[in-house]
Amino acid sequence: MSSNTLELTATSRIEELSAIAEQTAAFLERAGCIPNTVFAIQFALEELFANIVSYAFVGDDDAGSGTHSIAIRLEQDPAGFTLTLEDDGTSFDPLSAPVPDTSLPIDQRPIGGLGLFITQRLASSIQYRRTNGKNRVTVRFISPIEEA
Amino acid sequence: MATATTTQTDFDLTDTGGTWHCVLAGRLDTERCERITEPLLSRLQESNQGITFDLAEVSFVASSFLRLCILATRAVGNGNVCLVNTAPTIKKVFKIAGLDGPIRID
Repeated sequence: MSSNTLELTATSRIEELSAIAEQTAAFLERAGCIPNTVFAIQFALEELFANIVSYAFVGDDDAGSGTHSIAIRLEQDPAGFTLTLEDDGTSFDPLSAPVPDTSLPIDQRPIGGLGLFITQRLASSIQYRRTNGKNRVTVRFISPIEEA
Repeated sequence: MATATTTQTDFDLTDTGGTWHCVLAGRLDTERCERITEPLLSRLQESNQGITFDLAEVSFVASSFLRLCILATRAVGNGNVCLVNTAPTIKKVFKIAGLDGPIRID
């Protein structure tokens, strides 16, 4: 793993997120990432990981036991950062999730769906690919680097 | 003037005489929000009082915190849930979600 790349593998349990967030924050600080982009990357990672844990292994006897793993990769390049999450759960394209109607009165709004919607708005682009029985979501963040 | 204070592991809740003042700190991530949603909503439903979340020491919110604010607003009515000392990044996610109207954000 090079110094401009962070690679983590976590079990499919929500409790893993705090350690992932700590390591991600440390990597982004070393990389000179500006605060707005730090927040956007942390938000995307949180929502995509939580979504996998909640839905990717539904109906699987091993769901919740932590036997499935989720691979996380965060890479810096001169123009910004690329976040990739990969899991072997049920096929799910986050880009196909229903778009919440944010103009509805609060008592008529569906409770779910905001996390992926906001992730798409904070990111520069998102791609989804299903390959060899695995979901791969790639999120791109174009971002300047903070001057030292 | 504070009339009663409840201190729990994840939040400090003070009754300021008609409105709850809730001080939160650190990361409001998915796991933590799931833990605090039920006890907070129970207090709101029992008292039927509005609530102000003080986010001065909060660095991150997940969508679960927006969900908590939606459920709190349903419990006590539009305009009765407020956020104060809110970081610009957090204001931005509330604005994207269209929640910067029904929830007062400073």
